[in-house]
Amino acid sequence: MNWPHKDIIAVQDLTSAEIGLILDMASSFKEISRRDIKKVPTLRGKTVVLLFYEASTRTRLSFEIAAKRLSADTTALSASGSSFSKGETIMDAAYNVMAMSPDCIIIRYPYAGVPKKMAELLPCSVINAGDGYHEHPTQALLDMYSMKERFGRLEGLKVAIVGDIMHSRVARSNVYGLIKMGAQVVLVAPKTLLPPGVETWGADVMTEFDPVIPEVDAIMMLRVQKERLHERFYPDSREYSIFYGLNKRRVDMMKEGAVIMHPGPMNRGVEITYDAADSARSIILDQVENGVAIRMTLLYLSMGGSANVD
Amino acid sequence: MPEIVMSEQEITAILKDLADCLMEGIKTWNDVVFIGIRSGGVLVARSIVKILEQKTDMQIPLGTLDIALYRDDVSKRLFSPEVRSTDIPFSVDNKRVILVDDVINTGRSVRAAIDHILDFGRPKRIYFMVLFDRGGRELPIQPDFVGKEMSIPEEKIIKIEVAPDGIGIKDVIISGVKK
Amino acid sequence: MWIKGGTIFDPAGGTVQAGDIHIADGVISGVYPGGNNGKDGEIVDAQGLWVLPGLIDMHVHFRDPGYEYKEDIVSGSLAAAAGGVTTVVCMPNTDPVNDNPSVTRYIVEKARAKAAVRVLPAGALTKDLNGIELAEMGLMKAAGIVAVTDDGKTVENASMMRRAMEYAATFGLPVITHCQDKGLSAGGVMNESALSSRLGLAGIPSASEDIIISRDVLIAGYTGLPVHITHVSTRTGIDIIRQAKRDGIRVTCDVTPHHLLLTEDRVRGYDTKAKMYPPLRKEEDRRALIEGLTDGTVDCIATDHAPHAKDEKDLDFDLAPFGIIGLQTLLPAIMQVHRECGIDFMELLKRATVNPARILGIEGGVLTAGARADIVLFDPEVKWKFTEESILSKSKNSPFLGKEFKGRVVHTIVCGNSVYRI
Repeated sequence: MNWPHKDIIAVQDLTSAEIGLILDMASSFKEISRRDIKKVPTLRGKTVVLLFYEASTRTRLSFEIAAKRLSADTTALSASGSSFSKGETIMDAAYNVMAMSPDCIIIRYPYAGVPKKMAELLPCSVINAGDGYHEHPTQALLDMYSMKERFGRLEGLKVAIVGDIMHSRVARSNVYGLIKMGAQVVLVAPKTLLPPGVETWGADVMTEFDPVIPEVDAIMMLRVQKERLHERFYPDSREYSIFYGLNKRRVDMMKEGAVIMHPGPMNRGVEITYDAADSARSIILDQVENGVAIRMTLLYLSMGGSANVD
Repeated sequence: MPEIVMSEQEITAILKDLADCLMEGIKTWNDVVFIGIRSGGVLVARSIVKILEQKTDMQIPLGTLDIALYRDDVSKRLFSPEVRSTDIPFSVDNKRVILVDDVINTGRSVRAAIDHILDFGRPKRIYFMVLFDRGGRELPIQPDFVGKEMSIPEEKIIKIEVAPDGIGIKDVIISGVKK
Repeated sequence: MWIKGGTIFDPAGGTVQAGDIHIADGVISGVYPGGNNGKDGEIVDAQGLWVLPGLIDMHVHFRDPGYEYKEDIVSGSLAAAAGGVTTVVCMPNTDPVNDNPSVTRYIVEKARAKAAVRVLPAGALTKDLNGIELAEMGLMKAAGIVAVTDDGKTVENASMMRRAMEYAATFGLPVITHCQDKGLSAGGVMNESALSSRLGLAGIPSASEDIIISRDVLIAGYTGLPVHITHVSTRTGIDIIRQAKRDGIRVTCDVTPHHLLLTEDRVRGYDTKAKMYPPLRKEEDRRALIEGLTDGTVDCIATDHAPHAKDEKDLDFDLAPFGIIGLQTLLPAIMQVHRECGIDFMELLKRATVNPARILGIEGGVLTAGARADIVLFDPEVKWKFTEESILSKSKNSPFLGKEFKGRVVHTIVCGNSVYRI
């Protein structure tokens, strides 16, 4: 197949065949990261600009490493050091960056829709590194890759996503992707953290965590945004962690071979305890490693590489 | 219409000649490894290694190389390279590497393959062996061992066909017009 | 001046007839069904055109004083004229707020001197729209306001709303209420729905509008005072108003053309020209508004013309201000509703002429001898594309840009003077 996308904006925009291809190709890129010389010349001479208008260390680092392993030149611009705070609109910033002819812009932005708009208006590739509550496609793809790596398949898997579904772009992208790939998804959250219309997503929705645990192959815990949620969507961390936190007792209820995932950064002691995060079931660090491979794949595909299978 | 330019028998004969040349040129085999360039080169490498293992009565290591990420035309989308994995299950340090491809034309694939191998270590020497040399070089690269030289019009595609067993080479065809 | 050969719609009398109209001294001096031989003054050929009374838009924002870069009384009135609107009621959320007679006088005087159409100010219910202290309604009325409203905001305290309605009634001022529960709608930028979740945009639940509609309707019922609910957008809102009317509560309401023609689907693509309050709702809500027009629950159609500068609207969807312009597309939009929903044009015309005139207690919507000569000539068949170049407003924030309409205003007359002509 020929890769038809200039940009990677949303898992909603990808077909199951395209997702499958990304996951297949990622293994080849993962191998590069395990070499002594962790670099291939593929994107030599390409310029990748990272525009991060929201705090993020690991996603930015992951993209930067991915781009560098493909020999692209990277420049990162984060909100604090940029003119963002000086009243410049994001599209002004985008046109200014564009005037310097980058080949790819990776953008993280606190509001939904901006990467999509940028992709429509700019000639270069745009990769969404998370926009508001909309989507975080690279995270979902690396999550799916990690599950596929562990189970050999996605079809028929049962995955629980637990926590603040309402404000989670990671949950949304994962739901769209996993369901396209034939997995079954159960969303677990108090009703205050379930978004309107969640019943149309094709996932099961549960408000009780325990009954779900023995049923699923993977449990993905979402980060609770303490600062945003406290006192508004649930009473406090203590009650939240008792009803929706992953702890030793719940880990012991998981079925054999089932794994624990977390997109990070974790709030240890709130949505996940130490013994859960560090248990043998945890593939949280695999997720991080695979993130680089997935992002290399996407950089390669969106900047000229293709995947013509003869 | 695809035209068969070489039959299985002819190929077998050429491979045999190549093996003889290699036996003569290489002499000692304890530090020799083969690396085939995906996907045609892998077939050729596999066939030649099989012959040489019989002749030398030694196990000869064989790796495969995917050069998609080393091409110099990625962004031009001239080709649509699928990325498959490179599989070199041995160290190339201080080895004599015999790099194998089915056809040499511009020389750009070989250049990419050499770069790729150098990312894995520092071989003592790299030889290049090819089944067909169709000319048309764009880089100063020449093979050390050539099966057959053939002049094929630039617009034609030359391709080796896989035998029904999936291992050997059936025949060689030229066809169509280059993309 | 003569307007000859057109089809004359008189919503006051409910008549449609071919004929000529004679205008003298800013007043209609005679209507002649079947035609007349008169030749004095200018002759306007209205063959094939509809002759309508000038429209009354009871909800516009002219941003003057304070935000003249978005719109001012002159540019706003030109846009109105081009839309066949000869009377507008401009909302008080200017800077300074129209909460005292000096601001009212500024608007009235500037309008009298420079505006192309009749510009009638609405005053604030509360000082600085703060929801706490009553504004000087009596003095503003004396200076020329025709209604009071805190539009753009809801008076949060129900007791304050009751007092404001009682005080307004003291001066015979209609109260227009913008219904939005602050807590429920906090942070929202589009209709709350499965789509808002999918787009990752925070939602404004329909209940946040319905709750205040109910509250104000209940206050009106309790006090026996009238209240006008502006820009109703929800099915439940319409249901509440319909029931209230049956119960004899003195409630009236208006809807906007954009809520009649568009749904939340228009937000896909994050176009800020589809961002306004109340937000575009679901198809079932849109249908309920149409139903409300059909059965008489909806009294008026008003644009909520809300100009914003390009650089303001060019922000991210979350950050861009609420509001769109609407004056120039009002009549074509009404025409589209007429064609698509099969509602009698005369019935729709009443919602933008005699009905608002009645609610506001002003003259207008009449095409008989002795009436103000505010007249629109409308070509019901011509197709035209609404482009940025055709916009006379200072701001271009319309969701209808690029849309082809059937039906266009070709000539607008205010007090016997041509103020717009293609």
